[in-house]
Amino acid sequence: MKKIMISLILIVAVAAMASALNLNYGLRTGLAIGNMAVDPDPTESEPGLENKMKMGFYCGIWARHMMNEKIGITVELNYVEQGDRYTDEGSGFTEHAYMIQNTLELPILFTYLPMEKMTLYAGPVLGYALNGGIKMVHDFDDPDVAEYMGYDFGEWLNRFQFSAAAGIKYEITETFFGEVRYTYGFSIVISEDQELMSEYVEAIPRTLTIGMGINL
Amino acid sequence: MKRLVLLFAVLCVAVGMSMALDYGVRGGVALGNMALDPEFEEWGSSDFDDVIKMGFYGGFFIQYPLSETMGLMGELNYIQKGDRYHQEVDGDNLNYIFYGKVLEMPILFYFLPMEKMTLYAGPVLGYVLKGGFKYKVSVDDPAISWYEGLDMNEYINRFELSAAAGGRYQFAGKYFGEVRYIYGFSNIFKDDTDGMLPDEMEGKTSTLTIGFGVNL
Repeated sequence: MKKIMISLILIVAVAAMASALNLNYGLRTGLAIGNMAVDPDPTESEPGLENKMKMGFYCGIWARHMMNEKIGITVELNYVEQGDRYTDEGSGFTEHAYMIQNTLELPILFTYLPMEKMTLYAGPVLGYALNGGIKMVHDFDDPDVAEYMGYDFGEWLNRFQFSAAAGIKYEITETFFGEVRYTYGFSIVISEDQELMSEYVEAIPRTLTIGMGINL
Repeated sequence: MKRLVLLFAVLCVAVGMSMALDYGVRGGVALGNMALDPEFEEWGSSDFDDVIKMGFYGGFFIQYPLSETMGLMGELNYIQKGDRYHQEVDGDNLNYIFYGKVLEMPILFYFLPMEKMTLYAGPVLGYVLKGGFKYKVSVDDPAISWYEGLDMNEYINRFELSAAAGGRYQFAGKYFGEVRYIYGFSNIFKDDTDGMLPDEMEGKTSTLTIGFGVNL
């Protein structure tokens, strides 16, 4: 509730600022394909375990200020579902182990327009982990149900995350654009004081997002 | 099946857009409630209170005017419905959460009583992408939480019929605020759940959504 209120206020504030400064602004959303660099690597200790992509969702608002015709700065506020998935196929069931991190991120992107319809950008991303943890899913074939259990790490999360992002945007019409972006994390998700896992796991998110957006 | 439904919906949106109709996007919070029969208190000795389940919704809409003050509106939304039962024990929060993540296609008849206001009502066809229940415990110290649950794929009635009514108020040109109530007529659980839920149990969703949108 508190989180939703804070994000709503932020969204309204950013939108108000953007319209007051006469910036370009808009919305963006799409799929977040999550992966994590996990050390020690779980696939090494458990044979049969495969590293898969975790599908998630992202959405956000962006505002762009052009410094000259070709170069500008884009600031965004996004919600991104990052994470990773490991899968083990059994007979009659599939087991999935998820690492989850849902982040509110604030990228500051240096923007360059090489052509009229195309935008390239790169820059640092400050993230705040709203929640994160691990989730085990036991997906049965018959009956078709999935049992799951998991932990939200709460105070054992490193809330503030630092990453770098680079991507490309292509204007399809005046209103719509398609977008692909890669976000490379530098911060470890789970803090060292955790008491849940016997072994300390270093996990760093890497996320590819594919989506679309609109210019308002 | 899921893909077919989505494909059909995307096609409808594309056809609408090519007809140069008014369209836009909408998003916000979904306050979920569910009428359970037998009620949750009757399941066993339970001191749980029925509280609101917070969720999210997002979607597209297309308007087809029939006259200056009325018309038809088609939408495609993703909405997180459900219900939550809560109890606090020694500072720990215990929650039973029922959830249904629904792709819904409302067909709404709208009426403009004033320049900036829109009122609408109509039937909603929903497709339940995912549904089930989970039990979540939020521990006070350390501040972490633990959950387990079941995605009841095979024991879910995928198609849901509801009725929706609501209102919209335009501000700052293309933006609007929106409140809507969606009343479900269908039982989202199958009659026979092989003992996962009480026999012949009925769960009908009712959801209040509050959010805003943009005319593109």
